[in-house]
Amino acid sequence: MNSSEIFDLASKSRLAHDPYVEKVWGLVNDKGLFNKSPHYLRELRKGLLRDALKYFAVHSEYYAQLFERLSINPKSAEPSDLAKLALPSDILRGDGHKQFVIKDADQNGEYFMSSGTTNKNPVKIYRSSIDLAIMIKANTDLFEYVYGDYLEPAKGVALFMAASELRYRLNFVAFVHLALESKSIQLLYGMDLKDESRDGKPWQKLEPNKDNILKFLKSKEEPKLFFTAPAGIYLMSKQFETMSITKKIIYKIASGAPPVALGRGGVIVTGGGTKGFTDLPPYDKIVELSRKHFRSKDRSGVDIPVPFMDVLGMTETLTALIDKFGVMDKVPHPLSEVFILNPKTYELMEEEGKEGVVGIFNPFVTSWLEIFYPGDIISFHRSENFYGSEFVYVRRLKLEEGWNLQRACGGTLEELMGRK
Amino acid sequence: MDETACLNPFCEIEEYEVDRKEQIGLIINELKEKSLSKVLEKSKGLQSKLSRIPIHERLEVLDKVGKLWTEKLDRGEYNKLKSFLAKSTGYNTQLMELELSFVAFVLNKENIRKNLEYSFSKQIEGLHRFIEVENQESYRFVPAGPVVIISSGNSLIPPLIPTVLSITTGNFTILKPSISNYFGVVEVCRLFKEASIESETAKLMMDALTISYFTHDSDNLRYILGKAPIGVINFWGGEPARTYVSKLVSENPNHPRLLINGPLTGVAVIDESYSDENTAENLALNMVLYDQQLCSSPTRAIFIGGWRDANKFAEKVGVALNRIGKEYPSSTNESSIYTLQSVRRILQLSGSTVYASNEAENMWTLIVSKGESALENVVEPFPTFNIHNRRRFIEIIVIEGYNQLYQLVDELPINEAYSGVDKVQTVGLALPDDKMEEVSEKLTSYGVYRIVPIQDMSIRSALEPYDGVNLASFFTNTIYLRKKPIGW
Repeated sequence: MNSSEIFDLASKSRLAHDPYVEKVWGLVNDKGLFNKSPHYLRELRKGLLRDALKYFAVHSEYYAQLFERLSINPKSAEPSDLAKLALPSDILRGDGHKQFVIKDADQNGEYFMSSGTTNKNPVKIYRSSIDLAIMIKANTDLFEYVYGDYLEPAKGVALFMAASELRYRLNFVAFVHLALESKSIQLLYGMDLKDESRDGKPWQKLEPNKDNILKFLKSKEEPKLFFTAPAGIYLMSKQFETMSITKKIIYKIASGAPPVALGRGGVIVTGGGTKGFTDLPPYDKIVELSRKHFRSKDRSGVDIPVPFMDVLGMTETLTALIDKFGVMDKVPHPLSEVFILNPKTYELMEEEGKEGVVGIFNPFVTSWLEIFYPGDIISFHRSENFYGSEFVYVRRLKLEEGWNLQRACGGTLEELMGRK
Repeated sequence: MDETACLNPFCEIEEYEVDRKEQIGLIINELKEKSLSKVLEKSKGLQSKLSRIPIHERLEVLDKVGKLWTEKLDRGEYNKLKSFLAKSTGYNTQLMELELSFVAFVLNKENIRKNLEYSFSKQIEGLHRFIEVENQESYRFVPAGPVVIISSGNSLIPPLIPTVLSITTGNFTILKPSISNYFGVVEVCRLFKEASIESETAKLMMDALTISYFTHDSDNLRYILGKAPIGVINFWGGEPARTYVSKLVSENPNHPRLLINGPLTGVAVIDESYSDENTAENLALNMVLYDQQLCSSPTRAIFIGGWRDANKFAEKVGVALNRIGKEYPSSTNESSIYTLQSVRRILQLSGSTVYASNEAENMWTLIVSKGESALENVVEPFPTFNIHNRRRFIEIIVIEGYNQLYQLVDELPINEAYSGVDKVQTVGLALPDDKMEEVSEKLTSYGVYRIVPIQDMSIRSALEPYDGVNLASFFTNTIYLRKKPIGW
């Protein structure tokens, strides 16, 4: 589906006229949310939590029973109840998500899957057309807020170091694709998916699409938006760094780079995690290296260090958390409730600077109650922004497989048992 | 503990050579095939000598070793060992203290005598001479060894039990302990040396025992299992080691007898009329001891009665776990906490009631489920939450009548949540007297090995067989003697 089809299907959805869905759709379309106070938004989200619970209790016997079992009254639910309701993302692996999707949800949506970097069995999420429409609106607004400017329709060009086929598989690719498509901004895919029949993860079967990369490098369009995994920008910058002078000259003649001129409003947007690269330098070092080989200008045409934005968007979240390097740490959409759980008790934790397990509640998701914790460690600090805080990604929770101790009663030939 | 860095063989009979290896920061000196072959050459002669020594003398030696152990333990000579074993086995020092105190019970002459008496129909004199069992017909129990014991690594006691019975029955015995309990086992066996100062029998028994660690890919281990002139192999453990060992043994031209003691677990059965504080306390204690890693540890509870009563009982167990668990502090890492907390949520979301503690050193969990187990549902998203990694965690399945009880015992080994377990070893009962007999009788059809009161599921009586087998009998051959023809 393209973005127009999504909006069209969403408007015809059975749920489109549900009062809660209408309320959510109205709010998502309100760009003024980013100018509200943190207190106003907190109260708004509290109200949305109660409305969401009512909505899901009405549309699903499962949720009605669940709230009863957890002694949560939708009418008086508090943000502290999120800790009780949050699901571990691991339950969403395979067909795990199915059980949580309400029966009234439209059947004409799309599925997204995690890349499988952290687990062989990927997280698989269903998105109805309404949810997809909300995803496009909310993510575009959040992106523009962090980017610091309005993306003018039909202006500029974007290069995404992914294959077009992944638009229908990976959430991050769909985020970018649909947001740019709705703005009529040209998107070039910098990779091709080779030999799908081979075993392995899709991102491991990617090969550069030289034509598209060249097209992007040579383009005079502004702004130039470069989307990539951190590993992608690092490897590209490293390649420029170690190029012989002769090769550099040849490359420069062919493509105009290095340095890569991203022009006015040009930005590098990273996302999608490490993709299994274990020897990547810290993010600030990647930025430092990349800024030697990528150039950008502000709106008035003055040279500036190329801006870096990083997107934290798991498969199971409809909207992302985005930061801008050196300007702001990660912020969510104003309607998203980002909360932190104590890593020992898994109860809500509200101490600034303390590391905990991140949880996310997206009240605008209409097909399932999207409250989950993906297994990442995060901290927050107070901020003057609309949300009142910004979040710092710390690390993925390290899941040890554990010694598979044999009983009867213990571990004979223990080294043969290994760590699976 | 400098010497702990090196796993040296215990072999007093012969000068030996070793293959030096390294594993998880330890140096392993494993006995070479050449040395093993040499000691095995002497084994027949040793067995012959040992099996002529009156059984009560052999029992005296073991008793003496047990007493020496207790004296040293009381003097604090094993404090370092205690700390080391706590670290290597993963149990807390309090439990290790309890474990070390059990050594003397394993070596106690009366306990061993009782076990032998029930293994040999009270004819234990047959272990050193022919005993007439009928007119002119006699039995003599001779060593079937050499015996090789590949023991478990759960704690110190499990490797000692078969080893003691093997030596007592006159067998030359090669013991391969686990890395985690190696130093404890060797420390016990060193006491034979001390005992042998005053006793030739002790010297003989010490010579009849060889201990060495072998890595799984060791050529020396392959030799012992697949080629060496061995009579009995006793393997304790599960897959994949079990199949590996079985294949090698099947190739041995000497056709040793193979006894596998596979992975087992325990089930507690509680009638609502017995769901008082006392039963709750007993269940809690058995959950805390050895962190449910024994074959007898309760890892599932079945409650016969109403839902409300079951929840009241769970609350009582929780109170007991709070108290008992604190006495045996455990540690849980970030990864295990994530899995545990997630599993608790999933079970709660799926309709079970969850009682739990978030105390860092005592994270217990009680799941109360209606009619059937809900645990299977969490193993797919959390494969690491298998029976080997569940600690202080039990699901109490509530059923209304006794009929469902047997099905829940029967299905346990095929339940994904219990993957790796062969079957139910121990059923701990808290039932009214009028139900005891009926339930015990019916359980015999479901493959269980032990039916005991809930309060001491982990305690073995001296006369108990091991997983359905009398080990002492297995380690011997019965020679039949008939002095007069019985005619055609």
